[in-house]
Amino acid sequence: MNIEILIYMYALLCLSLIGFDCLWALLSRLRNRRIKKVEAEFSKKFEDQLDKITSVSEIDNSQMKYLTKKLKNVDNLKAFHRALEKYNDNNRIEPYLRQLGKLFVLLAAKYEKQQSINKAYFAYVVSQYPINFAETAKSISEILISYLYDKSVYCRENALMALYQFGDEENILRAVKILDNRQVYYNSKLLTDGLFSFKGSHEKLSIKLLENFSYFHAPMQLTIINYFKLTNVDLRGMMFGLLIDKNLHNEIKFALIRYYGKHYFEPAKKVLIDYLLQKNSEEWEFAALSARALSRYEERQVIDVLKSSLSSRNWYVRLNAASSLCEMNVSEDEFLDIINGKDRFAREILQYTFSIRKKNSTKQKTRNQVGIEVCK
Amino acid sequence: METIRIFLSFVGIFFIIYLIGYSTFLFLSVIVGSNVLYEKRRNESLKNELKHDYYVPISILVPAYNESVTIIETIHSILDVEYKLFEIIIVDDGSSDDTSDKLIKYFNMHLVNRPINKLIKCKSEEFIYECHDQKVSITLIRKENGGKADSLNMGINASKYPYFICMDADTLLQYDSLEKIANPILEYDDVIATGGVIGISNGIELEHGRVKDYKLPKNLLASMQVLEYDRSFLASRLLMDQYNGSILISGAFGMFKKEIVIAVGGYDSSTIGEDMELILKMHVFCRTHNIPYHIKYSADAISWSQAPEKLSDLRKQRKRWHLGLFQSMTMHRRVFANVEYGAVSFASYTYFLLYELLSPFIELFGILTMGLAYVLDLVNIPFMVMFFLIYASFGAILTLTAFFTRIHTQNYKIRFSDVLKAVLLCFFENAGLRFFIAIVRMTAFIGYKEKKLQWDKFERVQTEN
Repeated sequence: MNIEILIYMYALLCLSLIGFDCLWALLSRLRNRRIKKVEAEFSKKFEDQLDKITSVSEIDNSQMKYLTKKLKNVDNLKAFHRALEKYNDNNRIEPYLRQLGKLFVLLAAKYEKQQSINKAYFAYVVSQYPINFAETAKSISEILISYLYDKSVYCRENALMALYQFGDEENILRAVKILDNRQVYYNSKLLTDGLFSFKGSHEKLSIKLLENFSYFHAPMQLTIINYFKLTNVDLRGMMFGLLIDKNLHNEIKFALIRYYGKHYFEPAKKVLIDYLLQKNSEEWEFAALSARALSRYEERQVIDVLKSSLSSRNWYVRLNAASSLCEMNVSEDEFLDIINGKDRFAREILQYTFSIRKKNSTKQKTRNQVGIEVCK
Repeated sequence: METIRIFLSFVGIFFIIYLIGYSTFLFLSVIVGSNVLYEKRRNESLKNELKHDYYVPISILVPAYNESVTIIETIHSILDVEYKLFEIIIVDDGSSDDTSDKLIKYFNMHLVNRPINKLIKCKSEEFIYECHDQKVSITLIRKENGGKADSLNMGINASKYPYFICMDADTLLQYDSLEKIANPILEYDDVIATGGVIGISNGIELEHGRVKDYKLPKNLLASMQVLEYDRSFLASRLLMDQYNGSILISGAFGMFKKEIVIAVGGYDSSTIGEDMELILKMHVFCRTHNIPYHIKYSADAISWSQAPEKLSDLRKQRKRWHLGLFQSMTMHRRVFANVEYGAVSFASYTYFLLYELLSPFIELFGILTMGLAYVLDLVNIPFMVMFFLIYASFGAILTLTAFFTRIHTQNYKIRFSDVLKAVLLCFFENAGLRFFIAIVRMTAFIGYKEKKLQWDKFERVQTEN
């Protein structure tokens, strides 16, 4: 009898599962239908308001009250956003959006008390409509900065995206400090590229970050250097002190080597050559990265050093040295001694990289002949 | 007689516990799996996601042995992927067909004298061809035959990026497969491997990496495998993902951090279950060296692979999988009941041991004892039939839940005829196909010593893409 109870329990479970599945499917459909209906409502209200705004330049109070009440529900916010997105006529929508500044401030405060998933969506909507309205941008930014303390990485990321749009370097500095102090994991590349999407002055932001550089932990320092590498802001002189600082974490030094590999700086040449020529096999990464970075420093001394590195015992040093030589305008005759020499590894890597160079230049010549613009 | 009665009672109790254990696991995995998928969809609809143009540069390794039928299509599907920085490395493991010739001719590849840094031991290369005319560089390495594991090791040696993906030569990728499989790296700084979902390509139509038409395969056997894959790939793996307990990432589509794979010695050529063996090895390595790590499962990273449409081909495939499972689990038996490995040991390893590796023998034992009980007139046949029907129905409903969850969360448009087909077939899959597979597993060890590294392949067909 006890065993039969077990079987009946399983049978009941089966029926419950079927019932749950059907109910879930039904509820999902109803929810989607409701969102579409609300979206249509918003579209109609936009049209009414846009006509009024062009004549009296302000959204009326009843509309503001309506929106404040409606949009604190995230599904309605979603419908609102979708309705806005459908508007292709940007000139018409711009005055409307600027009027919504006060609404966004009220909503930001309401969403601050909601669960992370909703806050993240609100931050996302804000990032889509950067409001060039000094007063409200400042108020919303304060609340968005508070979102950076949220446990959800999505909420933090969307808040950051919105802050980048506002173009205030002081707020970005604060945001970076918060993330660094909290020591929560944040993907470096995401942060680097996010900083690069900053809509304000990269020069001002870079200087602020560099001024505060020593206060950051190593992972954030790495992110910031990678950001500097992406921008065209000239920080070569200001950062040179970091390149020669022996106390920095190795990963930071590697990032600096890569930085000076992209941004030519005469005083950095000696440092890179020293790294390449050092004999400590445990620090091979310095040599390998420097071999690559020196491709920018095309001159006799560098060519000779790179040539000698082709005999390095480390594969990556040889590979990077060969790649750098390949990028320089060095003729193959220069390397006859290596090609005809006894060092098989040097010969192989050199022949391989030069064969790639030949193929690429043949491809370029062919493109030139048929009049296709070559982008290097 | 009394002794036999007591013995059969204990056997009965054992099987009740065994089946409850499996049903509970299945139930939990489907509920958790469905919940995870729906939550993901909700997160996406509310822009709770981390998106980027590209996350990490990836080397895609395609080991191939006599894959001339599908290789060009596979490479095309990879080229259709929307991802900024990756390379393709095809390793021809000494094919006796024209796999290499086809690739060289089709992609206009040229011979190079490229040195390879062999950090992992593997058989020697015969020639290397490259092509730089496509969206990304394509390298073809033809080598001495050494098996899939050996080919992957060659690919790792030749790769230039810090992460690599291993895939089968008949696997088709979607436009977002790379983005999705790399996505977990944005959330965790210690991801060493990510698994993707393997869908069955027999019924689908892909156009430039997008599913143009989704339908269940015409072949009934392949259709049943669709249901089976959804239940096992989707549900159980998502459950194991919740506690960092994945011990299997399919060799058809998985991403790995190269540095760790090299540290553990690469793929092991002495097993045909190299995919599972590698993951177990990575768990052991990281735990032994106290390295924080995550092995993740990305339910959105979808790739498509052909399923066998003949019973003989299915038998070869499942026999290989079972032998691979046996080899991997015995090589890393230290994981079993070992507190050092936590949930990986007590949940994942134990599940695979009891319900995958030993299940054919347990089921055989069950059948034999049932036979004994029948002979001694100790079987309550109506009860037995009812139990079997309820149990099969339970499995079928869970299978359907997993199937429809995936359809719904992936926004596939499915025909009503396919809905009916799925409902009907799930009972056959639970009651019929599973027994066939159980028999295949039971007989898998016959001739093991002579053929333990043999990779019996099944016939590939050209798909409609």
